[in-house]
Amino acid sequence: MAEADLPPIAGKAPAGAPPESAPPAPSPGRTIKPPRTRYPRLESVLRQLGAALLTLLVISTVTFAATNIKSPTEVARNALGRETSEAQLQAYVEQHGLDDPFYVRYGSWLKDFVQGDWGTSAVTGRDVRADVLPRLGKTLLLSLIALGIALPISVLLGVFMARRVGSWQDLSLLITTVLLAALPEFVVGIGLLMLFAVWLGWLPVDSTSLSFGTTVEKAKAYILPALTLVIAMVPYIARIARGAAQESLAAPYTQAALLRGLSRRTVIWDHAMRNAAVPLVNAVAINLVYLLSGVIVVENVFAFPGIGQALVQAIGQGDTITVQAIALVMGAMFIAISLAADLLVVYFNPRLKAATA
Amino acid sequence: MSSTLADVDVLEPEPLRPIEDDDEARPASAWRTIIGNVEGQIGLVLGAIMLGIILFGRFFTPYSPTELGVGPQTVGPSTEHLLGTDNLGRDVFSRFLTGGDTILIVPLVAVTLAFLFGGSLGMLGAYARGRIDAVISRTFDLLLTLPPLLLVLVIIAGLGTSTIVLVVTVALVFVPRVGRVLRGATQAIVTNDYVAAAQARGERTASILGREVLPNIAAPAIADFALRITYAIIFVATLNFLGLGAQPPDPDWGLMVADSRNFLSVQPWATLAPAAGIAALSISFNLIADALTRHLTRETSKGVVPV
Repeated sequence: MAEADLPPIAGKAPAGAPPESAPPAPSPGRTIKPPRTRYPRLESVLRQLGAALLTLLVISTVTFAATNIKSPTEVARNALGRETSEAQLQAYVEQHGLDDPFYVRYGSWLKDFVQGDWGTSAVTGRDVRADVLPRLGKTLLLSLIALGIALPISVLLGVFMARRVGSWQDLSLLITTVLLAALPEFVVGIGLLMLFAVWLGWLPVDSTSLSFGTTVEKAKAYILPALTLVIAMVPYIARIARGAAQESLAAPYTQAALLRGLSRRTVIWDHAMRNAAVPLVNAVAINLVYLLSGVIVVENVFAFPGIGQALVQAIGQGDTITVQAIALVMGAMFIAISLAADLLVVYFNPRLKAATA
Repeated sequence: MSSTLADVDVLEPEPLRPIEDDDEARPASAWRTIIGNVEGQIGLVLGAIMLGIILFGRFFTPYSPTELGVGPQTVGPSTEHLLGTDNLGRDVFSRFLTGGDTILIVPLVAVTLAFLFGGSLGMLGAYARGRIDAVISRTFDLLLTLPPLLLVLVIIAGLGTSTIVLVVTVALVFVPRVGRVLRGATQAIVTNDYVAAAQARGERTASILGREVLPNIAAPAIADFALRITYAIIFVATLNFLGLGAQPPDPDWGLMVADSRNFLSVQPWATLAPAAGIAALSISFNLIADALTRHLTRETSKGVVPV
């Protein structure tokens, strides 16, 4: 779901000009304070790890709370079927500890989960972990492929636009991003499906061949889902990149470098974009979680056998245990990827480097 | 909110208002901004067309949108069925004309709710500062760490699908986002003398926020409202597509896309028509939002080195 506090234009805060938003508004663990200790890098890495763990904890709490709103007998009836006697229901409730207070059940669920016991699905009767893990690999690969393509394209587009602010190329690209950003992922996916699979017949209409096809078929099954995600992400990231590039191209040090007679390529990529990298990666990291949610939708459009498809399926079937497991795994995956982006920010931030000397 | 402000603007005598280049983006100029901008005009016309289809399309359906077998199954456009029929022999054109309700009404209600709750909290935080602001901001930050689609899916998994669940969860997603934007906008103006004057007059906080602060942050608020509507339309359409929003047999564009996806090669119109409907509706709002935002940020090429 490409939805976020994404800057609509030029990296500026959504709608309007609250000056407070000019440096990204404080978000836990993502603001990088000036160094105080001798190991600023280590400290900021630790802080971000802490924030990531905290976020995971919140996701797990919300997931567990939301999926435990039903009364214990209702859960038992769902698991055992409608034709069950009161005594049987009672026995099931006691056996699974459904009557225990919330924090006790949450604690034991989380403990089991961390130890690798993800439970057995009441709907399919299979081990959830064995079902989810192979799917996770595919979803992760799909997300990384999409990111790997979307990021460089967005940065190049952003720089291209920032160098020509106000020109017709810039404006038409901006309008294109507005149009693309307004399209839900599934509409983009259906459009690509229509074009490449139905009319041109180049690619398969779904990604089911991932489960049984040959290597080439498997590779082909990734193309359309990845392309859809790329089209969903590029409009947002390109705008952030444009804003960041525009700002650093206008900065005095860029002018100075230009006046010193350095080549344009050196000025743009070595001076301007190196400084633009911090706000850029920062903004991307914040929005990554939202952008990656699109993978849930895309998997369902293309019948891609990943965890997003399994999640929606499990919700439809009322398979609570699977929903819990996938929500937590998916949350962890999103957070891990955006943590990686955060760590890149630390790497790029020169202020954190200087203090170690 | 926007319409009343626009009305005030219309009543204002035009020639008396000096229009300068550096004129502050005034709340009353939101409507004029949309009108006086090609992007906004296109958005407005497109939005009006889609609104017409969604509101009045139901009166022009050639067949019942839910009746099975009014024609042969899964055939392309003909004179009897302008957009063909779907796999259950229902008339796609009739379903198209009646399928836009959810993705217009749910986003409008949900975003309005988000503005009422999130917006007031954000304004209060920026106005009150100190501990109240800290509590509100931390809560927003916490909610912002949750991936929206995942959050909504998990809640739907627990509570089941219904319109109320849909509205409340979508509103919940937008509360911290709207709150943060309005908090920022309020912070920018809260130090102005008119706020101090109102405080000196001894006005209550609610009245200061409503009568002094709100009119002065109306412009960013309206632009943000349009933007949130776009996101909410995408969101709700997506949930419908996933089968977790509107439920069959109700005609709904997202649901129609999902149902007819497997027959894409045989009867593409059953998929493309509702997909186009969703796209047009959300594009129209996004164009309006973009026109407003661009006006507010006053983007110019000033100060940019032509590298």
